[in-house]
Amino acid sequence: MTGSALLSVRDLCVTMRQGRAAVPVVQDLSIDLDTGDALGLVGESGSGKTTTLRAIVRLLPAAGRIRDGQVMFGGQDLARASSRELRAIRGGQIGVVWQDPLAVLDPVIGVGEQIAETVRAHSRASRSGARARAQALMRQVELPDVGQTGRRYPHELSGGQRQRVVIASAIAAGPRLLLADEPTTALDVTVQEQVLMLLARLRAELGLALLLVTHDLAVVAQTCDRVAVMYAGRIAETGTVASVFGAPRHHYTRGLLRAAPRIDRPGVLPEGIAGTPAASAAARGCAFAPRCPAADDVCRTVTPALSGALSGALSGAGGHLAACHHPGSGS
Amino acid sequence: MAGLALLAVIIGVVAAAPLLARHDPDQQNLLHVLAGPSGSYPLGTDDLGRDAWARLLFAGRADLAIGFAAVIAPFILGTVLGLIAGYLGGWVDAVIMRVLDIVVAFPFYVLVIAIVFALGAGVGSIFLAITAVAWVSYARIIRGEVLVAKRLGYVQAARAAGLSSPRILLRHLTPNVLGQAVIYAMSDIVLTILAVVTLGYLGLGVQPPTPEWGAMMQTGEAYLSIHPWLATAPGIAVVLTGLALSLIGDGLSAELGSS
Repeated sequence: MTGSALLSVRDLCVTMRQGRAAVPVVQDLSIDLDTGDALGLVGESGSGKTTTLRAIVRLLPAAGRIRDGQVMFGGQDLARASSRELRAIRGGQIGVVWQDPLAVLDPVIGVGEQIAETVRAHSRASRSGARARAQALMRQVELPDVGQTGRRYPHELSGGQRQRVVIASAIAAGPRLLLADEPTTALDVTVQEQVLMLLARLRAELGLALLLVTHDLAVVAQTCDRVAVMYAGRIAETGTVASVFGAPRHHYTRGLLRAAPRIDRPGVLPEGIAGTPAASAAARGCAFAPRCPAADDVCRTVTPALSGALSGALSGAGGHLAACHHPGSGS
Repeated sequence: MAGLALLAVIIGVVAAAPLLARHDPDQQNLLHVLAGPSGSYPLGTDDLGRDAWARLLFAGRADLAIGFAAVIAPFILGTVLGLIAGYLGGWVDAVIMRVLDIVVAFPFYVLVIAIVFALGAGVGSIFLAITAVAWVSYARIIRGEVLVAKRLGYVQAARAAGLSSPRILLRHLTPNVLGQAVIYAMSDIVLTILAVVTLGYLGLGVQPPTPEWGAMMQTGEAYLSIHPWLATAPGIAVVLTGLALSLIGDGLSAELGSS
């Protein structure tokens, strides 16, 4: 971790209004992302991973609010930026690839024009200049026959083509950071593979940093260098993909890995984690304690802090940290 | 389709009025009042000796023209206010919706008649009155659609792409929410034409001697027992026009409403 990361989220707390109460959905979350880095944010539904992504670009749903923390990007705190500053950052410095490409494309406008629109929002390009740039972008994301495809409407394209259009829009203004929210979840497995390869190629070509939100551990293993596992609004474990997946230290990560189907171990069935996920960050104690095989009284009363292990020296610059009182024990 | 064909026939007949009528609709012939139907006067003459057939056709021109035109202004006003209320929300939304509630609190005709009465009878007053009252339906429909669309992916994505609010509103929201308002406008034309006819019947609409269906029914009513066609012919014309427009409206909502 260098001193000046591209994106540095510090102690982020996000609450969602539910009736009169403000329920914490993200708590004390810190992430660092250097230029060219790829970080995977994984966790189950409701763990706060998408909320974190939305909070970074300040596109939380109406009930959501950043209660505390900083989102430093390019020397600017996005958590306190004005709407004018945010508009320049969104799409300009930070591109977002959303989950469902059919939903995020305007159904009544041709896809080429939608890409050109983002170009024009962040440059002084003329109408025809933006159109030419849009076509170049469409070629870059490997869309076929860009002249004709650009005139098509979203419903006339395949799922994979749509996601390529969304990616082209996201990189239209030459951002330094790409946020991707479950970019492959809505796609067929074969298409998923192609889109992931495209993202990897663009990242290398454009020197993009990538924050990838997903529940799919295989996607993270394939695309990212580092991973942060979220549970109930907090980071449970973080480190390089190799060290976290190879030698998990948090019991939740271990459970997740056991729950993932393994093609290299036929006959070994995925195993669920007992119990139901916590709805929000616990007031005290470890949120995973009710489901954890190694939980004791300390776990139920003292919130564990992210801390390094004995093997810290081995895990390199990324630092392998886990928020667990008993990282060694268990299966 | 049946509605479209029927409307085409009605508009065709009304547009060809100068060709289909043998007499000037305003030409009085006091020696030939309340004549029965004949070759020269298919529907006879009215109480001032004017050709009832010619008046029926020319009245259709006035009613259809005013009806269609009077839908456009409330459509635009309601759409703009609905977009603003739905997109901005907050106190702007609250103010627009409270004004809307006040308008809705009065029965449609009571308010329209009161406004026309206050402004004085005439075509201009009809336009103003209908616009002032009928925009509420459009504003409600559009606001609801915007509230839904605002949460949809493409609006979120447009914000994530750094587009400005006016741009999102005009380029992305408006084309996507307009469909429902257009469908409603089709059925609203029926109500508007009925309102124009009703105002004519009450003597608050198009001023004589210009022929108008409502006014014709009102004068014909006195002779209902001896010359029933004088009042029923414009009545049937109104029913047929309403039927045609309703059928078109139903057809449109079946076509577009599902998407």
